[in-house]
Amino acid sequence: MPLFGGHRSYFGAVGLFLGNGSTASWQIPVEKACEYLDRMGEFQASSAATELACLPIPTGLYVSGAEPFAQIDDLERLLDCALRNRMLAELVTTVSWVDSQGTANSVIERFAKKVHLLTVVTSQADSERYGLARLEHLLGALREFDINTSIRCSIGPGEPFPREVLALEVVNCDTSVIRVEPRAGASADGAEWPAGYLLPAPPRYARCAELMGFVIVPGGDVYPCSSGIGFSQLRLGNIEAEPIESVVRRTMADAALRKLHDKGPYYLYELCSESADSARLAAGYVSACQFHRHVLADPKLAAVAASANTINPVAGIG
Amino acid sequence: MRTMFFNTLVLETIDRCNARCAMCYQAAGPRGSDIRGDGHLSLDVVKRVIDEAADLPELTGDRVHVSGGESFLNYQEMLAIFHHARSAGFGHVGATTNAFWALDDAVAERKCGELAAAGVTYFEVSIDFWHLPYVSVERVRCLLRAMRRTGLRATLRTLSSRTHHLPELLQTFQEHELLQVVIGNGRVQPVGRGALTIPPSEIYYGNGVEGSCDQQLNLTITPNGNVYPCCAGADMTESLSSGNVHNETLADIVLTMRTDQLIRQIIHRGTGELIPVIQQLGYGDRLLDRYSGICHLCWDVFKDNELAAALREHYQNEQFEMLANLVAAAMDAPHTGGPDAPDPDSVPELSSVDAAE
Repeated sequence: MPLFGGHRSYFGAVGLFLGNGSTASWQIPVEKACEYLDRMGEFQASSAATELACLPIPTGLYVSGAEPFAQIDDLERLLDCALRNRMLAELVTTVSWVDSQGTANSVIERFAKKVHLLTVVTSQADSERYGLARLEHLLGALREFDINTSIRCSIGPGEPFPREVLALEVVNCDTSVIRVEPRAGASADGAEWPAGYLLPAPPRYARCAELMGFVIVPGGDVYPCSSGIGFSQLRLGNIEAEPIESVVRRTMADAALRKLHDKGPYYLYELCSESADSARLAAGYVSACQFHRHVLADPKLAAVAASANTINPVAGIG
Repeated sequence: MRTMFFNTLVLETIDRCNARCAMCYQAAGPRGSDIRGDGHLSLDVVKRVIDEAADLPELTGDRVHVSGGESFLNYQEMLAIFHHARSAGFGHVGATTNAFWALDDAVAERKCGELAAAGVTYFEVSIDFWHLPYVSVERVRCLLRAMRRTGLRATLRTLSSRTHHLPELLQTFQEHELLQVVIGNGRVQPVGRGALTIPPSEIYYGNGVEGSCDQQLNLTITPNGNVYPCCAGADMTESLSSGNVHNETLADIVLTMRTDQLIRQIIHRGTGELIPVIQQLGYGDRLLDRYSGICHLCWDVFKDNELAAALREHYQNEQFEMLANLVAAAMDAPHTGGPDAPDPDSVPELSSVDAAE
């Protein structure tokens, strides 16, 4: 029986970050991406029923970052690899590649048996650039080939809520999961968000567990969540430099990360607000994640957090 | 051999609901369910079931979900259930509610704080055109605001029909109140009370009855103690129950479920595959002209106890026949195995094999 929470999984899924830029080409060669997935599959098999079992069965594969459909043949190789390793693939895409209903149908048909869930990210800028037709084409194809569908609309301060997306027939005619979220990085001081929307402190019970994954980025660095990519304090290790097993073993034994997993970053707020640098805290936050990123990005607040041994200690690895 | 995994332990603790919505698949209301009666799982039984579930290898998810009826009719009981679920090691603990108890911002925030401290991590809040006569949107808004301040994850569970779309429902929300809220929208289904009240012209029928549900199973305990592999309509039938937690352990019931050839057929091959069998058995006249999906078909077929019994007999006979053929082939085959020995990959799924996994 695993030591860390019985058969419960520590990570929600394996994450594969293809690179920066949601419409860009991949920054990881497909051969390398497949190698990572094969290694994860081997690790999954060898760690089952051991203290290192840390992923759910079946395991989700969350592919985000660059545009997966920018490299169709590579994507097929990647998804075949995921299937070989018994992973259920969720792809995050945009409508940038959908130039007609025909394109959407032919591409989605090709991947119909290989994708478990497809998340379409859209925004006001996308709506202005492409109109709603591309979104309708893509969602229509997903309905046609019975692929689970999720829509994520990101909005910034002052941008309207995307009611026109919610009104689409193709959204209402079948199961849809829709999430409207504040765009990452938008207005840290929050002056433009509606009155009452900003939280004076991160929520006390907003734990990180639901958002945590074993997220691998180009080059082999591993992070515990997509929001944490690039923050050196959150880097769990590098699977080019060491076995996956040692990254997992160290991560699961890390008390600070466990605290984020179980309780969230509120305790960092308590530390920072009682420190000499409390004035560096923002007037309000849209979420616990935004607060956490703010602390990690601010050298003085990050030092407060680090002084309480709250930062994952993998400096020097890789 | 395909294995049966469950994502979530679902505890339908009560049949009663303060609302009596026209589309309710459970046909719940203030006096209980029109279909299932007025059941209530006692706290002692719920705690035992949670403890047993914590040791079930088939429950691979980390989630306990409480629903009803409206389970928050017993608020103190809910606190105890959530606390017990977290103590048993479940990480994702939550419930479905219609928010009737979020009387105002202060009450909602106080209760969300208590519930979060007890172990709750999320709520799914039901709201749709058919809930509106019974629960005010204002209470839903109060609950969403309180959940955000507390740090509980919010999913708004909505339903659409051909004339009732999401914007109609969400127009009374201020825009920023829906930021970071997951809207989980589904098609209203002609299941339960909805089969009697929702006109067919309102229903999106979708792509028919292809597909299976083996990736979407939730181990479900109903208020009368019956156990099912899902909470999407099968739980409103008698015929698909694999046992009752008042009489057996959860592990024994799950073993029964896993070795039930009829349930394996439904889960792994899909209910759509039953249609030719139903016709072959002479019950074709009981099929509807169309179904809105596999869950609708499943409920419609298995609420008919006579049809369900005929299907069960058919699959039991098929199972016995396969077993007899397997035994005969093994008896005929040379001891070392040979060209006449059955190819293991071609051997049909058998309960005895599954039980030995």
